[in-house]
Amino acid sequence: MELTYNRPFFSACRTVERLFRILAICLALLATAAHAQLTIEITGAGGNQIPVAVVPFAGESALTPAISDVIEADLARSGRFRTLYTGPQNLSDTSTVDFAPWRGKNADALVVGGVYPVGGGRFEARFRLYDVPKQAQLGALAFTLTVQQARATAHRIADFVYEKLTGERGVFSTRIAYVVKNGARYQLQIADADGANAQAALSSLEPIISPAWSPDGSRLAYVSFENKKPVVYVHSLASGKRQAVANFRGSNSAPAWSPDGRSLAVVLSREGGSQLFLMNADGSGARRLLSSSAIDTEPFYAPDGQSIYFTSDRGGSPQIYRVAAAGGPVERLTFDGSYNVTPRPSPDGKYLAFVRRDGGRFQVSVMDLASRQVRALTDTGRDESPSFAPNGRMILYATQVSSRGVLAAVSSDGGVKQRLSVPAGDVREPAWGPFLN
Amino acid sequence: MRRALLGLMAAALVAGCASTGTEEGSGVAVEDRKPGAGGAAGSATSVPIGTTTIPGDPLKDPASPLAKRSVYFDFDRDDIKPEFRPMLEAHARYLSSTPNQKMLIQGNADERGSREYNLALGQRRADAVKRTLVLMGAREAQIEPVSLGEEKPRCTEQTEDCWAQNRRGDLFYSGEF
Amino acid sequence: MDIALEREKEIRRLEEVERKRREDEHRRKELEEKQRKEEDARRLEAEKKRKEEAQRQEAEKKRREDEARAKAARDKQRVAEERRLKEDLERARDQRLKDQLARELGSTTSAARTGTPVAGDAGATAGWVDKIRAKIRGNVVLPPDLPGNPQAVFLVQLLPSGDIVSVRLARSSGNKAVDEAWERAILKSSPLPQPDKREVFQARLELRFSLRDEP
Repeated sequence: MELTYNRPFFSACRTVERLFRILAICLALLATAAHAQLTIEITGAGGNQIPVAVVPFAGESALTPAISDVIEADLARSGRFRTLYTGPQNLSDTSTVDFAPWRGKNADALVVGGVYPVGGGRFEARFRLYDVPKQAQLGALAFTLTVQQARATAHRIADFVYEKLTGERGVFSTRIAYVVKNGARYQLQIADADGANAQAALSSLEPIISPAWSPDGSRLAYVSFENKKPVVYVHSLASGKRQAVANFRGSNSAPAWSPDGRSLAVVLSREGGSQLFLMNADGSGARRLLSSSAIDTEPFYAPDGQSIYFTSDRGGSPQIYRVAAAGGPVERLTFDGSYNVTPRPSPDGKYLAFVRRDGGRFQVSVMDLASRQVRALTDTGRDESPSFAPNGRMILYATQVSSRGVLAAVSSDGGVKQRLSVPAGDVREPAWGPFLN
Repeated sequence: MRRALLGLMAAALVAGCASTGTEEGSGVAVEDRKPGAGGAAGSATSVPIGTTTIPGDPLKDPASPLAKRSVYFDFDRDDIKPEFRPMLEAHARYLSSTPNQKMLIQGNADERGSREYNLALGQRRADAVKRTLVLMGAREAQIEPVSLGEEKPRCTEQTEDCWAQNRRGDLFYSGEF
Repeated sequence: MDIALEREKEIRRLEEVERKRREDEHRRKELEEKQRKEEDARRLEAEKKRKEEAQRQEAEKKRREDEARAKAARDKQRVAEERRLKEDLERARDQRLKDQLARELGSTTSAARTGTPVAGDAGATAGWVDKIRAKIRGNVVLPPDLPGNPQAVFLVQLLPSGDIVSVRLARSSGNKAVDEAWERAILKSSPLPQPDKREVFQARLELRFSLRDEP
């Protein structure tokens, strides 16, 4: 009895269901055609520079320099961004963003923000970073600052943007050291990574060379000739106190910090020739690392502290070698050319920057330590003192333009080259400082 | 001007001198003033123009070989060229005769290349001068060889002539530095 | 005597009647018993049948309810899918309009749409894959000197128009910034090029990104 009721009911259901199924298939065909999946492999990139728009911050005219200008300059200088002209926009961190025009400009990222007085001569700088194609916020931060901290704040915002978009730490808040010769006066200066905000740590009428940052960024070791011969000093930046840590008979030079900050590698001539020694950072306990009748100089610790790179002419011409920090056999790394000097391993230990003479030109070059392949990074001809940024992406170096020393930076792949603006004078011996936490 | 004159005289006095005047002029002139080197010495002593002999401290006597304080080197070399041996012999004799006298030798290098490697090259030159002086009779402890590398160039133009003047060892006695 | 005989006869007759009556009674009882048993069996059978029927009905009812629930869920999902699809279509159309606007304003460069002549579906698919790869790769912006060789997989749904409906990260490279750079490249590539032959169109793409060729 009941079945006689059920049969028509169920068949009606099935018919409806079948109709629905057909409809669904139609929709599926319309929308997705099929459920099969096509796999496409995509390798490499079409571009290296992330297009980013930094909108002038609301109210930033209260500060000098304008925060957005510094952020934009930082990002552009890194070589990893293409900054897009935004013009004045009525946009701040509190605005609702319409992404369409930014997508139209092909921006990948958008930085908006504002500067707000909070009383007592202080300000709050707030910003938001947006992913334009995804129409989503990637991050936001706020800083309280004084007028004097405008530049430092902008560098920190640029670091944030850099890290969010590249996955690596930015170095805009780090500092550099270098020597300026002005007439007869030498100055050891410390500046922001962009060369701005320079301050003199030491002034002297005799040359200063080879500044080297302690790993914690609090001290500089350098060579001063104020005693008519080279003596190695360690200088505390906060207090200005300095101590001669290597002042032996003969010459004392080329200080290099161990990564733990406890030891210095130096070059002493006290036993004849220029030889590598290790000593405690206070100058005590000097012990010879290597014995050769040749020149051994320019030591530089590998980032793991296990080995030391140096320049030696033991093979007849200056070439780059490596030895365990505990001593032992010496390995030659450069063979191409008759003049390869100033080894500087990258922070990840995979590359070695150095200066190579090719013909009459001295050029910053980089060696892939795994493959030993060497590539010149610069097209200048009188390069000296390469120094890796702590994130390994840029190399700061000294070169000459119309017989005057200038500082330049090149990306570690050679793709981006820049000149640092440092006030007039003959600038040399740059050293890029560590990350400051 | 003076160097040209010296070069001219050297060419006239030393038959078959292969020096090319411009590059090695100063070197030849110095060699020609070597005391006791036959006819050349006599004529060379008359070369300094407008000088008078001051009796007393031989270090202050411009006519004394001790007045010569610089030794020049070839590119990337630290061997003492023969023309500087007489002058160094005079200094070695003076040092051995005045045991309390101390000497600082500052080695220098031309500006091309790495500052620290150039410092080492200057050191090697200072060491070479010291070694020569010790061989000639000076005492080890009297002499401290140091290097100024490329930091105190005597000449600042980017020419070979200029660089040659900067590849140099300078001798100073106590009180002079 | 006769009376006794007669009496005897009467007794016998009565006994016979009584016996017969008892037999009848017994037969009747047997029949009754049989009938009762049969009736009981019938009743049990009927009861059993009734119970079975009730269970069947209960199961049937439950099945119908389940089916109705499932159908309701399916309908709800279907409605949601349709709505989503509609929204996606609208969004894509919207985006297309925006893109068109942007193109008309001359601030974007449209991807080259030159197809390679192909023979058969395999060729058409290969040609389509090449076009998609070229467009997306052109929008990938990554520093060339990143350490290692980050790799990630994205699942992409698209409309026959090439408009991208959804992008899902299926396997991360471990570097958030790199994943995001690839996602941006996908989104910026919408609409993707269409295949030369409609038949080879696939609505689901698995995009496998790597920074560089494996050595």
